[in-house]
Amino acid sequence: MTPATMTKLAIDRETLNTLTAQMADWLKAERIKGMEQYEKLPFPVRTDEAWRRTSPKWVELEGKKVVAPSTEFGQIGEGSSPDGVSFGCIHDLYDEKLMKLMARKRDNGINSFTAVNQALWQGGTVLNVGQDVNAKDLALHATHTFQGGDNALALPKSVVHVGKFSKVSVIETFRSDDAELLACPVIDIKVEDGSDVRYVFVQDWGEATNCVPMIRTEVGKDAHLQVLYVGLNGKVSKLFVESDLEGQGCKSEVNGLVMASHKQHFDFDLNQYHRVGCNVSDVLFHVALADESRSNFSGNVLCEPGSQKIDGYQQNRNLLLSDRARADSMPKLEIQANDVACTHGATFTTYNQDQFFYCRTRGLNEAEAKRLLVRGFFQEVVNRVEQPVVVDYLMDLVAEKMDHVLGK
Amino acid sequence: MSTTDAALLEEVGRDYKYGFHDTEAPLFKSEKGLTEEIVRAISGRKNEPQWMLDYRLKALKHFNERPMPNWGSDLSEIDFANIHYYVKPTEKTEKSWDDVPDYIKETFDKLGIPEAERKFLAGVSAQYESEVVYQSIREDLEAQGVLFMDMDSGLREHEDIVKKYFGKIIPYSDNKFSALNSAVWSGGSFIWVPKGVEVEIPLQAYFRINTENMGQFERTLIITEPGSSVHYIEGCTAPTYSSDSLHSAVVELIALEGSRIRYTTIQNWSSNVYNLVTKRAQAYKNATVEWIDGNLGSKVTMKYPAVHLMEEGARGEVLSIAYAGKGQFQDAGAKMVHLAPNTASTVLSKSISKDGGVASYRGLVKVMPKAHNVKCNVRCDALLLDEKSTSNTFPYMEIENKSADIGHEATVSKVGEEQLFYLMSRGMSEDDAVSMIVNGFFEPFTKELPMEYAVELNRLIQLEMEGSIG
Repeated sequence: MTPATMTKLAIDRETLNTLTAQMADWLKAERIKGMEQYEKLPFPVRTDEAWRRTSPKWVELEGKKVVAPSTEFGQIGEGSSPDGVSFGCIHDLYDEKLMKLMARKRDNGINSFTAVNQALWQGGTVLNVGQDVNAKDLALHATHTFQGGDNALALPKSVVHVGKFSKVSVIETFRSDDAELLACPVIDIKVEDGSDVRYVFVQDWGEATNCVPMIRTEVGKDAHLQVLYVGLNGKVSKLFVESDLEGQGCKSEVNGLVMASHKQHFDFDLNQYHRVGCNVSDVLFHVALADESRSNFSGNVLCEPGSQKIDGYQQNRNLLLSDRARADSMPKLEIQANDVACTHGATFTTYNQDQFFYCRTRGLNEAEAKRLLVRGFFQEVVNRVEQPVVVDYLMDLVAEKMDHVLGK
Repeated sequence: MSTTDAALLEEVGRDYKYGFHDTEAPLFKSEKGLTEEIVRAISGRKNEPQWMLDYRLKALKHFNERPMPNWGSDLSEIDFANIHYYVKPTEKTEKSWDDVPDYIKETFDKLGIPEAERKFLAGVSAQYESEVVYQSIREDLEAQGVLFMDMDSGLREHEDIVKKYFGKIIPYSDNKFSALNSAVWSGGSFIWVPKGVEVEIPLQAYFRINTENMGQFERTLIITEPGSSVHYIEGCTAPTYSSDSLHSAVVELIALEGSRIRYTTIQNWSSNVYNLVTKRAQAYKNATVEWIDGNLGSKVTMKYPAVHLMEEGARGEVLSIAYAGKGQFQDAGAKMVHLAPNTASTVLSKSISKDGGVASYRGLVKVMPKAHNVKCNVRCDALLLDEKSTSNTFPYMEIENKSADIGHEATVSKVGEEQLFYLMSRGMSEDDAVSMIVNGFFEPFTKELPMEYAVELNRLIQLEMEGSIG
């Protein structure tokens, strides 16, 4: 059964029973568990700490109907992907074995949105990579496109599992048309010992799409995971990233490149859990804000008792391009071990007037000069993506957005 | 009391040199619990004007309706029904030290106040339980027109000034504990500095809780008229009782055009005091407000001194240290609200956690849309001395103006091994070396204190640090 043939699904038991009637027992059980969770969990309210700055009313699930995306799978860059990489639609590739491999040790990162996703997910990606596979010259690319409508709800689910000592890079682009849509993607990433993974989440929604994405990661011993969130379009975005650093010597990077404009509302909720010692977490979020846009950054580095010798970095930089833009930042630290090096910082500035003046003296017009300075502001984040093909893809998207916001 | 509590109490008592208590002999002690009758009784005993009684009753109503805050430290153990809200130790506010009752004098003698006063203090006002019992002010200050008295006298003698500012900076509806204070407040300091007068010597007050299950709810109001300046210092202690006490003060500062207020607190409550304080200042054109805040004692402290920068050119500064030892939660921070253009603020927060203590920085920097060219710098440093302890940082930054220049930095670390190695290679013991490093860590704070406080603080820290290396 391909997702495109499905009709819209309501959020109730009856629909779930019809949906799961033909499914294997393990999948049925997993979906029913999601529904049970959804029924049990109270829907967030404004007084919850995580929702103080983004009203849960904007992302109500009540009465919504699930729609399926159309998805294109491809790659960016030359060459063919090596053996041992299975990449494609979740409806074809998600099996019991993979489910068991992905079983999570912890129960952080569960909310009404992930629960409803677990029950009724439609569409999404599986990337399953075996051991000792090197696929880092190219970037695998999935593009999910949703059609909105009244009460439309998008629940894509993506699963990334990378075996030991493998290297892989994947981009997921989420698109929608300009009709009303609520999107709650759930992305689970598990990186086994010694592997090196880049995951890029590109948010290119239509102007009436609200979204509550959840990215949950688990990083094994000596592994390196780089998550990059590219926030460009959409109306209200409430991003959750829950990173579990489960192995010694691992590094978990969460980077953000956000260009907000008009009345866009971005809210980032990032938690880096140091479950064991001797590892590194690194958060770098650069947010440029134009017009009446708003950004809330809430990051937390949590160091559990006994997690000694960790490094925790957290940076949130905000570039304010308009008098009416607003940025809030809450970079938090919760440290329960004494032999650690944790630092965080947040800055808020507008572009440098001297640099702007210099650009103008060299003959750039106002828009060009601003574009150059904004591009420079993003450069530190972009530099972390060491793959030229991916950088080019991202910079094209950013340039397109800047055309809209700053003019050509 | 369980045996673990008893052991903990013993632990607490050992190093706490203010842990003595005198046999109580108060003139009046309100029943335990909080009712409208008690609020009326407090107000009645003080012969307060009707507006103050109305204010207290409104605050009480709000307090009863308001839920307990569910963030920060655990406050569920506070039993509001088991607290004496008002204890009056002596008949009237004394002017001369000789008139103060002996048993209270003994307490203060142990604190070393009269000696300090003989040397150079401008005025001492000591709050023993709910009322200010002794206060003197140097004659030249009185001649300059500076008002320095306890809040109850302030209300009696200068009702016009009090009525103008009381509850205007911190309304009773600000939070549950400001409502509680507004309902049952008693004592505290009232300072008014006339135009252009610079008070050169620090004004000091001492607060002490002596009764078990006692709530101390002082109310302080400081107003500096244009071009004037004042430095106010308060210290706090309490004896070690088996059950908990509550200290919930409200402090309001108003710095009018071009004036300057420095407010120094050395809080060293014993480890069974809940210290839940609301402190806020308004700084007008070109005025400066500085909070110097030392938190060493108490079981739970939740205190976030705030500066509202109301007009152009105002400056705010918070310099705070926190020491969280065994069983202590120090949840301190600062709030800077920029409401006007060309305002600047600085926050420097330093904390040390040891023996399982929890030290948190919780702060807010807010820049309103019309506040152009704001500069703000926040720095938090935390030192963790062992693996059982916790350090948290919760900064909130809300920026609504693009011309703002805001920086925030925080670090968490342990005592540097190289520094330790160097000092020990110079012949110091490990204990001495650690306490020297810790003193160095607190240096930016201690150098802002008057000499005798700095010496006292260094000694206190040394005492706390003894045997920290196992």
